[in-house]
Amino acid sequence: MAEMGITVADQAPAGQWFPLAALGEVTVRHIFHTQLLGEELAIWRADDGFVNVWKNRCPHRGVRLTLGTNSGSELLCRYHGLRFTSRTGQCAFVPAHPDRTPAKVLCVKRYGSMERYGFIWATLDDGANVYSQAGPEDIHVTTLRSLPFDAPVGAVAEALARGYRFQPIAAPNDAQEADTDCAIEMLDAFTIRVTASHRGGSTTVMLFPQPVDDARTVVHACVLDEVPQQHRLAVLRHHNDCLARLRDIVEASPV
Amino acid sequence: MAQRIIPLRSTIEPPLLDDWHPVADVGALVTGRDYKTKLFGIPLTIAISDKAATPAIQSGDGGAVDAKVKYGHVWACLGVPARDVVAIPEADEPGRCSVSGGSLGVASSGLRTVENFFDLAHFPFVHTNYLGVEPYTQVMPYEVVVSPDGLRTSICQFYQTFQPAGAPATGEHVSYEYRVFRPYSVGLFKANPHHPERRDCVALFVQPVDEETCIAHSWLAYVPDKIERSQIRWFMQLIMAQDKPILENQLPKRLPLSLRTENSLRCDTLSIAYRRWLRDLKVTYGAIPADG
Repeated sequence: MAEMGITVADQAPAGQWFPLAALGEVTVRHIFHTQLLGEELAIWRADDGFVNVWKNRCPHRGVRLTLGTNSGSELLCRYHGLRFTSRTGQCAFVPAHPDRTPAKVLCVKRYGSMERYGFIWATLDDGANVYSQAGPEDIHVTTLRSLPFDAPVGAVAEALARGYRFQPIAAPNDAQEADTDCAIEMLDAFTIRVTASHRGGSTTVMLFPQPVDDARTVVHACVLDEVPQQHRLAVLRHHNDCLARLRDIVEASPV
Repeated sequence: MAQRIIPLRSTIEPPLLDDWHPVADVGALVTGRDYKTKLFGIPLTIAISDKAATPAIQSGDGGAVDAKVKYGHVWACLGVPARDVVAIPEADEPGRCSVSGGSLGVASSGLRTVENFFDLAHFPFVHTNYLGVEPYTQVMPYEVVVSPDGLRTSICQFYQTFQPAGAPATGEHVSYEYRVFRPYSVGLFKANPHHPERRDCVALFVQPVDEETCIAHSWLAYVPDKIERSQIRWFMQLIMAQDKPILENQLPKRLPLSLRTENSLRCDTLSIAYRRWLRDLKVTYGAIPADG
């Protein structure tokens, strides 16, 4: 395996997009709670399919929007029942003043979002360009389990890029790890592509470390293929085992 | 994960330092046993030798702290008392009954807790079927008067429904008057159902443990009634328990005093006046100053 000269930014460059949740996590009428670079976010899908990524704070009195209700077209705040419209984030109704049109300033802070590789992606940068990561959006992927790390994103990305290994799908059970060739490419500071090859074939996994805050990271991952049903459970478990072992090493290392 | 550490302030501003603050419900003290708590981040030990005597309070460094008992609670002053403990005329009326609703820890600034106490608009959403219910969500306009005794509202009206046993649900407008006595003490006044010319008082005496933690001591002074004291306590604790998760999910934890940080509604007349009043008093403990 070639030596990698790795420099991973601990601070994300402006305009960087990050995955936050697997599509399956942002279920109907749910509000998904997460955090990106220290910013708390509320993610919810409207019934028309639009995915909203909002700052997790009601503009009225600062209560977390993730405590509220996703009505399918609006997010209702838990405290005073204010209703915020999908897409615009504008408050459409204030129950305390039912006959008045809410002020324009009563609007949630919104972030740009999109779907790619089976995940909801967002950027905190108001001026970010549309995400242009290599890879078509309609690629068939198999989503793997996202795993949280008690470590900063720089350490996590570095550990992944240094030597993440796994067995390709359909490698024989008696295959030795040494028979498997793992090619690691860093597509950017926060995107790692690992291709594991064996006589029997190869499997490519994308790894996306998401900086939660300066001490925590979530590693999202997917297989760049549709895994046949009979292999799914084994693949999910194998990824879980490999990533959990890497996590033990990263979390044990002094920061 | 690292525990959140809230830095201790080296100085407490005089309006708070030289005032009295609740540190215990008298009912929580046991003769011969030390009761430990914190005020403005300073550890206190409270001890009573017999139920009648005023408790003795010691601070962390062993110094004695001024103590008083009033309205069912022990009050402490860490500085030199500039005035007496909060005075509530209705509560001082002869023949009044009183009951404490208990003390509840809240992981939020005590100033946020006071603001929640005098907020009406959340009744149908946080205290559903107890203090309000949809669609009766409208908050009618009211006024606020500022005086040396604090803030006082005009009558605040709100529609509440209730279901008497075996009868259809009915509703009525309730009238509340709010008074903010001190930055961390507030009271609600409502006409007694059987003696409408007299007012029952629900008080919230908030103990600032540190800038982002408090203990809410609730207390009711009422015209003698047949209602069970345990029933009153149950209700007060239910309401406080419903408010706690809301308060603990409000960000920032400290109360922002700048008008630009949070957007106020018409019904927030008292909240706006309260934040301005804190700025004028130069109170910053538990708050984010307007220029900070």
